[in-house]
Amino acid sequence: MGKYFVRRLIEMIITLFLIATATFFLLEAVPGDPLSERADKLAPTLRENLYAKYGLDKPMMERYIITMKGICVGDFGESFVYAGQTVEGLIKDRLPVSARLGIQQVALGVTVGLLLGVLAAMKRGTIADYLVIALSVLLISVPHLIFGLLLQKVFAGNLQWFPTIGWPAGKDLWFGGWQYTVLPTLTGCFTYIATYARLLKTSMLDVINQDYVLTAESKGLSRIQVIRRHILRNSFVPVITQLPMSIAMCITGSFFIESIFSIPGIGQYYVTAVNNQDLSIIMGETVILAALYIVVLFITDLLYVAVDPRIRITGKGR
Amino acid sequence: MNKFKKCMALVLTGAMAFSLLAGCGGDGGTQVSTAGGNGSTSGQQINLRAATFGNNYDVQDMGWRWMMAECYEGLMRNVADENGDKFEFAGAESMDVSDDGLVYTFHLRENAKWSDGEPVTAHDYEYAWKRLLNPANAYDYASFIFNVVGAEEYYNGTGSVDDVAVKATDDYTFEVTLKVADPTFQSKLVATPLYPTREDIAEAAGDNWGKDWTLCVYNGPFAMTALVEDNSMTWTKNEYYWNAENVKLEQINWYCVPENATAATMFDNGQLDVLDASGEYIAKYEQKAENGELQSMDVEYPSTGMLCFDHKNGGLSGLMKNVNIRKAISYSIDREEMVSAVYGRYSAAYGLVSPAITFDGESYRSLAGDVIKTEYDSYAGDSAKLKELFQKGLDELGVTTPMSDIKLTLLSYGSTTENQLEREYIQQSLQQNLGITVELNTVGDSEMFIAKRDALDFDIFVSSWSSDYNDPMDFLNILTTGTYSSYGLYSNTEYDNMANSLTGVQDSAVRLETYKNMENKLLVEDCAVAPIYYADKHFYYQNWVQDFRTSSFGASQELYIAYIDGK
Repeated sequence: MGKYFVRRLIEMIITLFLIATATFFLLEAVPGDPLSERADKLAPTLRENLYAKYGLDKPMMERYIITMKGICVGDFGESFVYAGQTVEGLIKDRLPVSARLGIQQVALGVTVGLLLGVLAAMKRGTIADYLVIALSVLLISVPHLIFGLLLQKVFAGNLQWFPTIGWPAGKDLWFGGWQYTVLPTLTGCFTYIATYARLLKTSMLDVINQDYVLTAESKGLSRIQVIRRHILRNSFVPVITQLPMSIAMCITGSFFIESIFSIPGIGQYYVTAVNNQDLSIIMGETVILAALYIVVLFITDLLYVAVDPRIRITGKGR
Repeated sequence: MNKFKKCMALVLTGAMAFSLLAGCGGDGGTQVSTAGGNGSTSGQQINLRAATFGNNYDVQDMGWRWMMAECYEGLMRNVADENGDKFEFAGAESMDVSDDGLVYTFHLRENAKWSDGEPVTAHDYEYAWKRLLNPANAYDYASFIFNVVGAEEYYNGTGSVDDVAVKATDDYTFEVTLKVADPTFQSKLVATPLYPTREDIAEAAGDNWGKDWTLCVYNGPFAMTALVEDNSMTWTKNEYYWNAENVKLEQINWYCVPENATAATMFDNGQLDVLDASGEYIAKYEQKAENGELQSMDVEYPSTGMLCFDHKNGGLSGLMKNVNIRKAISYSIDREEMVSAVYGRYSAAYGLVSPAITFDGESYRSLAGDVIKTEYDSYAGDSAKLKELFQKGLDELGVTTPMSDIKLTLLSYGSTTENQLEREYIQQSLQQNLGITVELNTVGDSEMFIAKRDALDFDIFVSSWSSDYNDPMDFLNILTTGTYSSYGLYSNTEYDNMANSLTGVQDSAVRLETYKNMENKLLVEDCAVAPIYYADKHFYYQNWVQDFRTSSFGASQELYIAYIDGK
């Protein structure tokens, strides 16, 4: 077990190094630089000075070494576009905002999705089943932007039940200001409802036809007991595969939802940084998101073991 | 192993339980520093929208003009109403200019104060101007005062800061000496890079200066009091402001709303008091304004959109060298139709200098007229004549390729509907009127666009210039040799000479005549660029907003005299 952890840790560091290197050189390969738009309307001497100030006048390899050194000590540098913005600041101020939004979306979306999935599987071929599937297709094919604007227009605009924009801050950051979070949470949770309803239904239908379910039923177990003890547990492997990934994705923010509801999260900022070719911020966010995904993949592997005793993490016999 | 599994199961259950709890919602109903317009202590509050927030409180950097012009104040203030832009004394009470136009003496207002109660003195101006010129700071607008004696030398490292001729002769007298007389100098005084900065405060903040609003002091009508990045911001009336008794608004709430649709919903609900509308929203609100449900204000904005040509190599086709070909391209575009079909706002441009630019108090355009209109009208919509003009250019170049085989490349970027309509409109216009092929080379963002443009990978591209100060020269100067590489590298000695001939000239009649000649040379003789539109801004505001102003070179939404009545 200990060996396994060490091996995964080393793999993780190598992966992160490769990702950082690839990101750096890919960004270098893109034409233009973060200052080119700003420097476009500057006289030559002013332009030289500006590039020198941000260190962009140095040769590429020198900047690569500076960047990698910085990453090693957790210093990604300052934004080229927004004075004073740092990756550390983003993690501290913006990640919690996106994380709360994401967790609420996943919590609500996955709960409702799983319930609908069970319903669809147990009542397969009935109106309820068709409704759930039709709803899933609808929810998954309509983009966030449309849902967000629609909900906003109706519930914040016409009915005025909820605030149009905004997000809890300060002491309400995690548990408070719920009214601000309702519409953004709803907007985002639809995708999860659709995904998980279909996922669980498909997986349950596989299990329902297995012999051991028949055996369980023939033993005289009640319908609820059969579902709970035998069907659900065995249909959970695909869900477990998907869930940590959903969580990782959701806490990294959603550009559209954050932008519609003016939520100061990390998703909006990441897209802006990419548009601006804001090197230091892109590097920082990419490395941190990559680290997050790697950790999540690791957790997923551990979860398999918890759910399905047939899977072993070491791959060797006991 | 079994134990481990149990642990994991527990963790899972816990996570699920937490999820359920979190999903339930409820109403905390506590103070939330966000939208809603609650907790108002006085009716004198206004709610405004910005599509993006900056994060820059350093006036020398001019990162964030709409904020800086309200929370800070310089020697003069720029405001505009129906009658156009005008400058008013603000930090200065009066100004003396020596007869030779070289020495400017500003008499500062003795009752001007910073938000911590300290007086605004001439030393704050001296420090700020020298700070602007410090090469280590690499400020974009340092060149604004290169005409000050010793300034350019200091910036380039050949002179000392002590030789820069900006001086606080006493606490309330600020003296500036120019190298050569320059009437445009005055129009730069409203620009935020020339605003004062407190030495003690800025030095104490060190590297964090301008990056953290809590470290700043303000000398404008309002002061920043709260900020949630990319979300909301509050300005409160600055009680120390010299003219505070005439500032009626107590609080200004800014919301960062990137989506136009969201902003429109908020404006419809009365959650926003002012909306800076564009595109399809203009038609919607214009109707409401006509019905008296809203007030509206259309203002010219000092920016002109234009087609630029490759003057260095003549473009990928090599044809852009010929003036008749450039003219045939320029006159193939129906500007009136384009502004209404593509932009849904703006006005057709037949000159380079925007109508928002004034000269001796009058719109420069009314003085100079529509320079290319006559020639444009003689070709407009007449495909045969346009083809003839283009063919004439081909003959002059000795090109024998038939026009139907000619291919031009239009370089552009941007993915908004407007960007797409713009390039397609130009492509269609040229193809239909000239019978040539126009290929679109569209790149993702401005950085890539600049890289392609600088590699001369185009025949034509769309660009625009937004002016930094109120003088025709700021427009005409973009095409003098070596100033910018971003307008097609036009270079003409005669044109440069005309621009240089104005150095030190104070006579406004001579200046006006030269400006007219320059614009004529540029557009009628050479067709160096093809102006397409003059930009404008459409503001809609609620009926309860009174005395709302705007300006071209100061705050886009000027609030120091605005107030709320009848809400």
